[in-house]
Amino acid sequence: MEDGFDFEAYLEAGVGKLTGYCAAVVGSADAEDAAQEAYLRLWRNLGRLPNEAAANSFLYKTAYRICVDLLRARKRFREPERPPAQNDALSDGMTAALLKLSPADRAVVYCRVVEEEDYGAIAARFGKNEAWARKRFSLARKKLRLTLEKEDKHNGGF
Amino acid sequence: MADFDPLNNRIKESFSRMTAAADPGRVTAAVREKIGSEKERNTGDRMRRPKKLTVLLAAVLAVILLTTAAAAAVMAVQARMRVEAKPPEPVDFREGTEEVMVSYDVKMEEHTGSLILSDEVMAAFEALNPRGEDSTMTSQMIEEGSVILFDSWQDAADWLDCGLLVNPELEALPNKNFALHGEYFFDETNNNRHVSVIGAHSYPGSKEKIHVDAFIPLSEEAWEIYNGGTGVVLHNNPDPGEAETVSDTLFTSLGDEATLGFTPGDSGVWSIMAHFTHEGIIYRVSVWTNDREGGEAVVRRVVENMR
Repeated sequence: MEDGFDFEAYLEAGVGKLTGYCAAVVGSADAEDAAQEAYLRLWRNLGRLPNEAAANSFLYKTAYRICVDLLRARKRFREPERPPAQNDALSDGMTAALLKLSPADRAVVYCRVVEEEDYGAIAARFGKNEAWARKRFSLARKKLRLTLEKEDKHNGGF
Repeated sequence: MADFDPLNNRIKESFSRMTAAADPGRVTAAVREKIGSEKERNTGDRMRRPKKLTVLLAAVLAVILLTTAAAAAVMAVQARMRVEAKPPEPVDFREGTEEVMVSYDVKMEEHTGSLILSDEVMAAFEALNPRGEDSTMTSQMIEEGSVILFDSWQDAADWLDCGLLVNPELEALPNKNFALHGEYFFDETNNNRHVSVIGAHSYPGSKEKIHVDAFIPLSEEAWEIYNGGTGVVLHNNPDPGEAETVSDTLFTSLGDEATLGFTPGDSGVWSIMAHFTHEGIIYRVSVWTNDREGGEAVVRRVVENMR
């Protein structure tokens, strides 16, 4: 890692963002564990990361994998799906639609809409190129629209 | 920044509720504590057990070297493997049973599925919930976001970027239930691992739906299952003799030879399926219909215009 990199300051500055990201992917119940584990793995690997940009990319890729592992473990042990927030959140059609997205799609939508990241930055978090991020975002929005339209029809809306 | 897109605003509100309960302060405290104790432990370990570490490193190195050598040997054997075109096999009737096996002669030079998809595309598929033998119906998978939806075959071909053949005629076909999608299949029991692109289209002049499936095998087992060599099993077939009709005179516009199989079902319905491979991808074009001749014409037209 380049000289002057201060892990403590880096942690302070980014922990809110990463915890939110993990909560979007895996739900708030497991988000803190996922974010914590990602930071620990980053700390253990600082020696082989050349700069802060590489650390960022490592941190988010690792966090995403941890979240996906947690989701898989939940499924494997048939643990009932935990709603990411309060119980009443599920009554919101958009929240239900977001939960139906794949973890990758949900993460991309969160980065783009909530964090307002550009496609290049989102792609870097996944180790992909910009076209991949554009495509994923576009497909995810399409899926959200379809799910919401279906929900509206089902409820007799519009 | 103000966002005037109503969909984005709803997304933001929902994510805000979903993430509200997670506390970054607890994360910071836990990370600090764990790093602190890890530092202490590392210092202690370094002082107490330098020899043990050396022995452990040597053992790990030896294991890595052995594993690498074994993997290299396996890869060398696989690299030499080529699946030869099989001669047509006779249809196998099992007298006294209610099963009919229909054998197809499918030519495939090599199984390259895992090589033709980029890491990016594979990662996108692997991020989906893999579909297994006990999976739900496709419509439910679409609802669950377990598939990648495509606007058109060309859209799928562009995104996969692996030389997927498309039929330009299919692109313009109206179909209310059009659901062209890609999915990732993994049945752990049989190590059947593949990616497939699946579409259903209404064809002009036909009441029937044409199904076009492209399978990209990612394991030898998947290749074995989908290369067509094992055929189709029918139960309670009233006239097994009809099942042996297999044509070998069908070609795509690029010269790939397809086999055409006719399988009778209940109530005079036929399954007519063309099966061919092109550059590591297995294609199936099929229709279920009472009109055997009309169905064959439609299947032929789709296959012959694949490019």
